[in-house]
Amino acid sequence: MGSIHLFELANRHNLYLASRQTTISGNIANVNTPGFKALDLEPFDAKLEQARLQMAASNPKHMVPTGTGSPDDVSATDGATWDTVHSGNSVSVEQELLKSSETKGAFTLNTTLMRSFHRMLLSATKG
Amino acid sequence: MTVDALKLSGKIAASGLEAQSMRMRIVSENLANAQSTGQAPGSDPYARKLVTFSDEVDRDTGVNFVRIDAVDTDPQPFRLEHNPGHPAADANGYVKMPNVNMLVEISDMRESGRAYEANLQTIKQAREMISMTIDLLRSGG
Repeated sequence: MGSIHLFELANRHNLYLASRQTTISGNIANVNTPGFKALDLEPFDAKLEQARLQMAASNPKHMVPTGTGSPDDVSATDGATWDTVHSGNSVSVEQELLKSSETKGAFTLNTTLMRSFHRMLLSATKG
Repeated sequence: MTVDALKLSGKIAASGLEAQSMRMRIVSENLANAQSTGQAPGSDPYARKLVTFSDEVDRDTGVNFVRIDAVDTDPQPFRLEHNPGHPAADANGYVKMPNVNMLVEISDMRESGRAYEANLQTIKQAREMISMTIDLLRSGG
């Protein structure tokens, strides 16, 4: 059986979700700022696909790919927002709250999974 | 790290709360002064105030806080009302009344209330996520 690195993966995903939550907070705080474009992170599975093949760094000059979920990956959402008002602000409170609750749901799933795996580990070690 | 990002999210939402409460303050100032005229004949009355926000990128963390950009006065012309007995009436008996529109102010207030609620909701969400992470420590018995 191959190793699945569950804790590692869940940890990475939680980091990603925390960054996303921060981005969403930024959007909501700027809901009335003229000209502000709503920001979002790239989806986690897209990031995961990219991270699957780790590049080998055989020379100190080789650049190492950045980790998933770092706040540098934030980019403006193009055309994906629900409304743009006259002042050029493209934040929709409803959409942001929806994203926020989505994020929290995924976070709950991760922590619950981590907890149950931890319980399984404990029952294996304690016998 | 996880908790740091979430704490940051609380801070951003707090900046949003501050901005919206400032806006609410300006709205109540406008409403309170909706009938405030000048003192001398022909003088200008209270001018409606407008608050504008701008986003500010925090250099350390690269996230967008919100800050109050400026509190300006509304350039719209004042309403003229015929009231010759008023101390601020000009030679023709007209008094300049403030350019405050109740309807606009009330809708502004409702909008800022809604934005305030959304910010509060974000803080609540971030706090729950932090406590979920901390609860992981509790479960292993």
